[in-house]
Amino acid sequence: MKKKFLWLSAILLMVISCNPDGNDNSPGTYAGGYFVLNEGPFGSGTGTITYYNSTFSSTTQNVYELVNGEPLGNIVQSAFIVGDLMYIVVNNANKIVVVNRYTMQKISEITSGLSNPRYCIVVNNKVYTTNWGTLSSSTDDKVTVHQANDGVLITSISVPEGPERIALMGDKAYVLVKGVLNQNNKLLRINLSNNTIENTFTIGWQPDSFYVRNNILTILCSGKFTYDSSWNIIPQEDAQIWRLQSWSSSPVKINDFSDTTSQIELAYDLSYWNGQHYMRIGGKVMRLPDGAPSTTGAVEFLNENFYRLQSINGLIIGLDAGNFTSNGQAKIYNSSGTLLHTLTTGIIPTEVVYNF
Amino acid sequence: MRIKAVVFLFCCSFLYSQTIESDTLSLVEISWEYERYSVGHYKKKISLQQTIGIPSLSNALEQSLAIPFKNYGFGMLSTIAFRGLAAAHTGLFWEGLPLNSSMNGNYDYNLLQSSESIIFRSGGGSSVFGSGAIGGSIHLLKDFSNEQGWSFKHNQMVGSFGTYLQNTRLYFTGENQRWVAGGGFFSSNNDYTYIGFDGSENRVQNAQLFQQQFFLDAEQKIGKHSLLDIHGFWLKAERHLPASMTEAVSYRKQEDENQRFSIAWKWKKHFFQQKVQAAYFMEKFDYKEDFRLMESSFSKADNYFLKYDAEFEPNDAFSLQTSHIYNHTNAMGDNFGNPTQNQSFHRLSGYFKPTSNWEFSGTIQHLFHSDFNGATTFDFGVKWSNNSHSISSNFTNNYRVPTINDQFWRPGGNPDLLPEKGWMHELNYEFKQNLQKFSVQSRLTTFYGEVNDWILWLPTSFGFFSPINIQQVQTLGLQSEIEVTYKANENMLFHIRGNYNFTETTNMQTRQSLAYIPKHQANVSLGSDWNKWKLNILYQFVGFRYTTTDETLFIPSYQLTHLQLHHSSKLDKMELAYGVMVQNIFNEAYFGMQYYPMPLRYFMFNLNIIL
Repeated sequence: MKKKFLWLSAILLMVISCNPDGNDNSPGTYAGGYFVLNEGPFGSGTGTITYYNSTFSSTTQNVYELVNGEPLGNIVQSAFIVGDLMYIVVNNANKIVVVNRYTMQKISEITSGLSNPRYCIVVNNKVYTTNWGTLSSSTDDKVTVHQANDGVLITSISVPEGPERIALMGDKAYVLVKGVLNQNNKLLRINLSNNTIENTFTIGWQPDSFYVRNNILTILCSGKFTYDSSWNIIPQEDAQIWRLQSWSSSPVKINDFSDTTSQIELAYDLSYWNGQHYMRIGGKVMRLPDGAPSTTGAVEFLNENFYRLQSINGLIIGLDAGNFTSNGQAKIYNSSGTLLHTLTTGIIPTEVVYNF
Repeated sequence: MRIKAVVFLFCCSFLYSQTIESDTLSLVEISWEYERYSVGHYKKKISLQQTIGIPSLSNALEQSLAIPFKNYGFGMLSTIAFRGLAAAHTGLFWEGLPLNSSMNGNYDYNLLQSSESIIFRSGGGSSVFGSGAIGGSIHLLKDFSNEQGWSFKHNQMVGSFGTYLQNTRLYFTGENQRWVAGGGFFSSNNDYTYIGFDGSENRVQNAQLFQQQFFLDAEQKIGKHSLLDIHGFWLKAERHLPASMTEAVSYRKQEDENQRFSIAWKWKKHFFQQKVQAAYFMEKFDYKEDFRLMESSFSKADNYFLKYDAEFEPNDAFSLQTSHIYNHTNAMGDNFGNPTQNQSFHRLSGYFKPTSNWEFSGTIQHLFHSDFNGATTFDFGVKWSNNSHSISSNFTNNYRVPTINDQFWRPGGNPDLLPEKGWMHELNYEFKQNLQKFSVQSRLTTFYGEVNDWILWLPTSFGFFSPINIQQVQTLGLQSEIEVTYKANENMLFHIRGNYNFTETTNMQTRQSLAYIPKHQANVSLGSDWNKWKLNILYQFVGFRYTTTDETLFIPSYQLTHLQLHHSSKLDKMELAYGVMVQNIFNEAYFGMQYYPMPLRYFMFNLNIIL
């Protein structure tokens, strides 16, 4: 008991030292602000969650451990908000931690059948989670379906290698199959009423990120690359943007970045704000008008090499993982590129979740 | 200038050559052949079999010198962090040749349980021993019997969570030959209890281990002046690797196999001796992410050595030694293809003792390497001593060439890496005094060193690690040791022994500490021998360790207390000893590495038979 106390006090000490504002944990503490999911150090460490209030004037590190007295687990990968709950996917811990998103109090854990879980959505009281399975195996990748209220595993849907992000549009789920050891180029449409794959579409290489707007799913495929003998990345195929309307039968390629024939562009982390697409290309933040033809090139928005990029509420947020072994930074810009805030994150910040 | 002075001193000593040593080779007690060329380095002989608990190199060094280790659980990977440096910065040597893996530069100090004793030598050793030995070096010693004829030693241990350890050796010592052959195994279910985050008791899963080893050391006199020297060693280890507390489950498994063989011919006449040695070391490593599947990551390196040593030693006050090592390495692995490397070291060392109080040693070495520019390294030592006090100092410059993994690992390996370069200085004060029933020995060492172009594997945004020459690292600190023995009478003896080490290792770019290096580490051992009984209590303290490079997160400090009670008796020629060891008496819940729990209180019973 005494040891546990020492251990906890050590953690508290760490947390307090990072939290000069001394936020209390009364219900509603975390309403209206932003959570940063931090993967945590590679190896044996734990991922954490950093909280910024709605005006970015206060930062609280490690909010999950602060409230619940236990670490989240190794590699915090993603989170999904539904109702009062947030479902946090902890990759190497093979679990989804369910918390009250206003208090951070842990409600439950989902573990049954999870194997290298990546992303999840919750719909119709069911949790759909993409799973890589064992890394060295390319045949055990799946989408698990759990009951949201009690975590009981309903079924597992076998999928091609490397299911990554999962989107919800209408009454269908869409799985972006990016690949793990081998690069992949598939988009799966899952029928939520019978939990089967309705369509397997071949799209661009490495479907990476998406957004859903007006019942249209827009997907950025990163492109294809290989390595040279010094492990430098050698791009082989341009990125592509694909679009699928909920009522149509197949996706359409709307941009293949062929504006520059001399240069193959790999693109990551697509987001949409006010008619513009934002993404990371070649170590910079680039901007391209939505609906622009392939011949229109993306233009530089910020000369910053971020680890992750998102746009939320008209803010462009760049996450910088620094040296990957210490706390990173979140840089928050407005849509004209003015830096508004530079804030500390945990180790390897990977995603910002707006806690509306 | 300094070199010239040393050479001049060496030359002078020829004039003083007086005593003539026996010009025939004899099978004498083990002496360590680098002793003379290590002036100003702190050296200590450590017996592994006197360790409380498993007689591993890591336990022995933690307990006798308070050296930090990075432990991933009981019997799991254990790497040394001497003087705040990395595992590859301490060299491990067998028959004068390096055991650090040519693939990853490290050695797992939990893989050796059958050694009898070692010499620990602090400070830089690149010039004497080759690449890597920047912080210190460890030398495995042979273990022949001094008694004529046959003898036999058996050690058996049984302990908590299904742990068994057994070592058996058979010795023969004759007029013209002596040998020892032995073997043993170490196995454990390793499902020990730890305290979970919610305070509940859990058991470690997937941590079972089994390792076995065999060895042979033999010497045969041939004629009056020469000796044939043969050594062989074989080890196979199978370890399941447990999940950390923040991971769900692990099906990881690692298999290690080591073979080494050395044959040498020694010749000695008058002031001159020489040795020709050929050796082959094989290291094999097989890692499975999921032992239930076939897929594994396999790597293997064959290391071939040819070594020639010559020593000119006209008297006790002066000697010169030269050594030439050629090494060919042929590696093969799923993650690095089939690289080969050639390197050679050429060394000249001198020792000079002009008066009974002063000693000097100096070494210069040059490395030739197939993949890198050569490096020239030095080692200078000076020592002043009288009966009670000694002050010694040493300066070395050192290097470490990138390993095969550093250069060729797929993905991430970086063929453009530069060798690490650095230097290390130390100052030692030693005091010893015998006062009737008391004897006191103490030591204070301060050190300062730098490593430039430190090779660090960093994650990249592409999801894999890649090594770069990133840091300039500075390390400084203090190491202290005291031992007081009180002999009340023939049947009763008390001793107290303590170490305290302070280490500060700084990344000069960020001005912050390196991760996992405790600033403070100490131990105290209290013991008493009473007739046939022996009682030992050992207290260990390891200070907090940062786990991030920006000093934001840390593992708290921990304190452990172990107890050993031992009884020995003689029946005719047979010596029988048995005992009990209680490890971590006060049930401290602590981590070796972050979220890798170590065992709470556990027990070991041992039985030794010597015939």
